[in-house]
Amino acid sequence: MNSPAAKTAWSSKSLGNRFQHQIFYALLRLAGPWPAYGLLHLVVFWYNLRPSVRRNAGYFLARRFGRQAWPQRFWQSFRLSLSFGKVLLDRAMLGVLGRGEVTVAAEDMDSLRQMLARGRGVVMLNAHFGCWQTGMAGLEAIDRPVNIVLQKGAGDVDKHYFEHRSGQAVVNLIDPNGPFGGTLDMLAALKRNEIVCIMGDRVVDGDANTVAVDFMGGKVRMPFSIFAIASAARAQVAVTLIERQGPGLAKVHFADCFEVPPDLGKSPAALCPWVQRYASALERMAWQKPYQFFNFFDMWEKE
Amino acid sequence: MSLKEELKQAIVADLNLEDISPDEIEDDEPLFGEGLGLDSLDAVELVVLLQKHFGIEVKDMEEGRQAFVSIDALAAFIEQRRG
Repeated sequence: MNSPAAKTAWSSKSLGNRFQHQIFYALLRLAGPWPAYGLLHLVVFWYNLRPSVRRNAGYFLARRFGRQAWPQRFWQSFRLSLSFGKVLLDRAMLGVLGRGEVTVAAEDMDSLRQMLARGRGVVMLNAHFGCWQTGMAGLEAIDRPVNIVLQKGAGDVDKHYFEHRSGQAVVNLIDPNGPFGGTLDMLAALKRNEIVCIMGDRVVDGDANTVAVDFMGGKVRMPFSIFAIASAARAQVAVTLIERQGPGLAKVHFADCFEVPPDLGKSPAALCPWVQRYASALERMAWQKPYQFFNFFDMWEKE
Repeated sequence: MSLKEELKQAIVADLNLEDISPDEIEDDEPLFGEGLGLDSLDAVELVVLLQKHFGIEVKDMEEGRQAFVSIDALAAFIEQRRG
């Protein structure tokens, strides 16, 4: 599984092309969600016939379920890809039709408000888990600006939910390819006591600021930059994972909340325990909800 | 000690620059990229450094971007903020 030939870097490139995505968007507009969900099953089944699609899904699934016979592997890969497709449809549905419902437990909302009351901003550390963008829409109810750190690759044709909207974006986007990698924008947002949302489970090209942490029985590299920024800003960190519970339904889980000590600088050794804490929270959720952890590449280091 | 020397010493110490001494940093040398080679997280550290050593809070990050060009620019920024 970890052979050099099989090792591929993560890419945001979409599986389908722009035209195929437009078909789904048009179907959503013209016929509503159910025909789009129906077509999705056929499309995912077709793509799942490709060995490369099953292999990419299998890196994580094999760690979660162990080595399975071919029919199980096919079924698990189909379920994972279908689940991912539903998330993409949900976020399009939210953007196109304005349909979506996000549940945030009252105590979690109180926790978030308490974190913001400290006045030093909150880092919402997300992952490629569930329907994070649909969940982010639920944050519109909070009276604080939301900044999303978002990198779009050249081959990524999936529209994000705020891109479906014709008006002004309801969130501020921070480009990690911008000046200083967007770090000063993130720091400024936290200093303004705003929310900064960022994925913590992917290493983007050229990011040397990573550490190896334990995850699903192996070592993976995860970025530590956001923890250094949180330390500098003395901001709270909330590991925010958003479970898809049904068509257009999302539930926000604050899987862990903590404050990174100040003045850690950019020392990998000092920041590693906090990255590990994030990885452990993500692992717990990925274990509980395996078909909501969207990992389609071999993220594990060779043992 | 001049402001620029103070800045150089603080940068070398706080950013843990191991292969360079304060004297080797030129006043007009770019701090990022091909100059001193600082990276995006060093920019965050510079913001912290300015507050810690000089009591200057950088809230407008566009201002910070212009100030982080070189030691000359940083010193001018500090003097301007000190009035």
